[in-house]
Amino acid sequence: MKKLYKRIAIKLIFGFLFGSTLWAVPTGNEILAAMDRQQSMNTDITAKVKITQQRTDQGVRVLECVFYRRDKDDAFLIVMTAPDSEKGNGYLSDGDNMYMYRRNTRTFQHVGRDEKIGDSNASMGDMESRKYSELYRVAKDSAGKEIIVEETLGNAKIPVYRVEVTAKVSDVKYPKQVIWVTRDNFLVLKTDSYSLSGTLMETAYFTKYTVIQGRYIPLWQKFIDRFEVGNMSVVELSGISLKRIENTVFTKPYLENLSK
Amino acid sequence: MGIITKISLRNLVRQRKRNIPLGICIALSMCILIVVFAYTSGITDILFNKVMTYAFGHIRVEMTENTSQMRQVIRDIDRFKEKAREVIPGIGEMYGEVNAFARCLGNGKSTSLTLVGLDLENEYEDFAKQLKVVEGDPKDVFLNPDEDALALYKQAADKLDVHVGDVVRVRLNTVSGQVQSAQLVVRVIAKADNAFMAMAAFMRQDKLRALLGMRKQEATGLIINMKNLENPAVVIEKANKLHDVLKPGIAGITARLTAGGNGAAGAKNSAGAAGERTLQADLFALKTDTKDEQLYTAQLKITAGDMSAFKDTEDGVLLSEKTAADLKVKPGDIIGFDYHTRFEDQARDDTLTVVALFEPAADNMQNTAFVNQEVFYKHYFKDLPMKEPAFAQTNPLAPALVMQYKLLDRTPDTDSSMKKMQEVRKGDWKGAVVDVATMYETASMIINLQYVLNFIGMAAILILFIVILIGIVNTLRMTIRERTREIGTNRAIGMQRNDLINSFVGEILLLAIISCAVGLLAAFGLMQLLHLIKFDLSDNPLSILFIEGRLHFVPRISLILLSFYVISAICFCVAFFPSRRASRMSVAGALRHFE
Repeated sequence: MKKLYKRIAIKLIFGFLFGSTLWAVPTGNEILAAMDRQQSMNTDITAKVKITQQRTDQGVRVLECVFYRRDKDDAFLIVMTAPDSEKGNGYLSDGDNMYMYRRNTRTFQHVGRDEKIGDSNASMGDMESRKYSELYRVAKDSAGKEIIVEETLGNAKIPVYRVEVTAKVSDVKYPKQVIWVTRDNFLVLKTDSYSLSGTLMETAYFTKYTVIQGRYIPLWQKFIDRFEVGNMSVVELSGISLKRIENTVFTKPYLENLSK
Repeated sequence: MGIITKISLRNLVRQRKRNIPLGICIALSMCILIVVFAYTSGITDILFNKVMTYAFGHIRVEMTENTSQMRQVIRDIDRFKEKAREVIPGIGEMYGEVNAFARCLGNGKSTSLTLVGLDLENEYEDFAKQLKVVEGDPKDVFLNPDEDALALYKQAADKLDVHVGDVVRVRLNTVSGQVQSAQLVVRVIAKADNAFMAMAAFMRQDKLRALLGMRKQEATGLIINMKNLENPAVVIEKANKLHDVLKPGIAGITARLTAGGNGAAGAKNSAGAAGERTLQADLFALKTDTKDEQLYTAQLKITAGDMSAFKDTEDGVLLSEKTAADLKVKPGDIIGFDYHTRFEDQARDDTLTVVALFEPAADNMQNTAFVNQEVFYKHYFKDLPMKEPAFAQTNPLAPALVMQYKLLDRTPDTDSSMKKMQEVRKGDWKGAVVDVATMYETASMIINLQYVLNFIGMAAILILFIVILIGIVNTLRMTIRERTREIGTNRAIGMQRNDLINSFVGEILLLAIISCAVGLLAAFGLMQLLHLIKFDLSDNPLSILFIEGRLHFVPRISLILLSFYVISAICFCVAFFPSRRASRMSVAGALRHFE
């Protein structure tokens, strides 16, 4: 009996010691690193993308495209398939440079990160696979403590960490973001993006993920404009494939041929 | 007064029943010519002296940086202003433009506007006079540093449904591409001359700079406007002169390199030497295109380290052997790097990793270091160095080095300018490009519009003029033909042929002078009347050709005199040839003439 009590006591002590570390809030760097791991695709990805855009002054507009991405080379290719006015236009990044292709003129144009895609709210920079840990740092409060709060999100009361981050570099769109990530696997569920002056500009929801070959891919994303209330975009992915993409895909001739 | 002149005048009065209608036709022609010339001059005045100076400038210098984003910013505006003053006389105004495209929200409505920052400490009075204020006081916008205030045109205020005192929320991008927002209080609503001007909104330049993250020495462009531009083509020559003096040099930074010790941005030294070692070095950037890589690989004799990763490294540096020896570093070591900035005189520092060492090809390269262009631009564009070292253009390595900027060739019009920019954007360029453009390139479609409108106006008036002229010519011919017997009588009593011709020509010229004078008065009266008519042109692109919805006339002395000479010349011809023919008739034949 004494041996039994001794074993129980040892287990309780160990459980207390290690259990407390298991339940500890991770550091900001750990969270950002985990988010990067979840977002990075070690394989290539091909997907059909549908963007439904609602603007108060323009009504509803639907854009469709095919999206190829290779994180290893920081390359992506987008070919617009709808509406007719955009069909055949494309966007290419080979890691070092970004280009916009216009089917009407059959010309490529060197563009920057802020170039809009198909006159939507999405820009070239949004398509890049840039790491949170390289772009942002977790903000600290006046006491010097990282602003990471345990909360629940939505009606399903999903346990999340609410993390406030500020930009480390100047070439990011939003200098401040508040991100809600799941506690178990660090998937981003919601982000609030703020302007340089601290005004909430956009809220994004990533509420539907699918798992393909062990990778989490957001199937449904909603971007709500908080500045011009009433504007929003919904991005839906379908036809996702993680098969290897040929190197020739991320080239100008390929985009040109595809657009014909 | 000579006898011939008296005869001409007497005949003019005597034939008044015929001459009055003829004179009215001539006066009408003169009136139409003056009004049309004045209107086309008015269009030219609006386009070149109002729209162009307002929106594009007569000459415009722009610098576009491309690193990860395209940024339109001139980092050292005073340098460009100085060059412009050196070679362009007769500058009316020159300023660094600070503006931004913004999405604006008013009371439940939104629109896009261009926010223009105005630095009005010295120019407030002139601007306040030009701004046709409907509501508010410009002082509240431009002389009050305590409030983020805005001056709007009425069209924009109506679109946003705002009045003075209301708040407008704006969303824009900073110069580095970050999203920025602000709340601005409307303090002035003014009347725009046309829909084009109505797209702008004004605020204090220092406030807009703060929103855009722009420093005092930076601007989105340099605008140069000439004084009272009558001959627009003169700007081309001036722009060419400016272009010639803006040729760039090789970009470089006179920097301090540090190794060892505890400070100097975490520098580490594998040799383990105690104490910090510093030296001044000239830092240049090598371009990473394939052909440039081949050039510098051939020119730089690498004595240690591995060059293969140099072009992709994010912090790599090539050091000369002497520099490495003085700093006691070798490939793989980290060194500190700092320099004094040109503006604000701050020290900017970072660390670099030694990638390789090279043997200098010349003595003046003993304290030289090279980085790739990505590493260089991280610092150079953000903070121009206090000192830029020289690098001999004759050095074989020079073509592989990054220039301060690339100066684009001059082009004659918008189409060729656009093609030029397309060619630039097709390439994989990094760095800055500078373009010197005149209004012929920035807005040749407006200039073409002016040509087309002038052409249409002139063509229409020419047709009308020909119709009137045919009437005048015919009438004059008939007049002279009917007075053939009178010619015969005058010849019979001894009038010489030349005197006869002169009397008829004099009569017609007197008629032309008097009619032109009447036509001139009628033209001014008509212009005044037409100017009173107000057209409702809200949102109509053609409102660009009107001022406050009214036609704009600019009568010029030269064009009035031209009109007079044209009409006089025509009258002279239609009087001279028939009267000469009539004077050559035999006296008897002229006396026998019967209509």
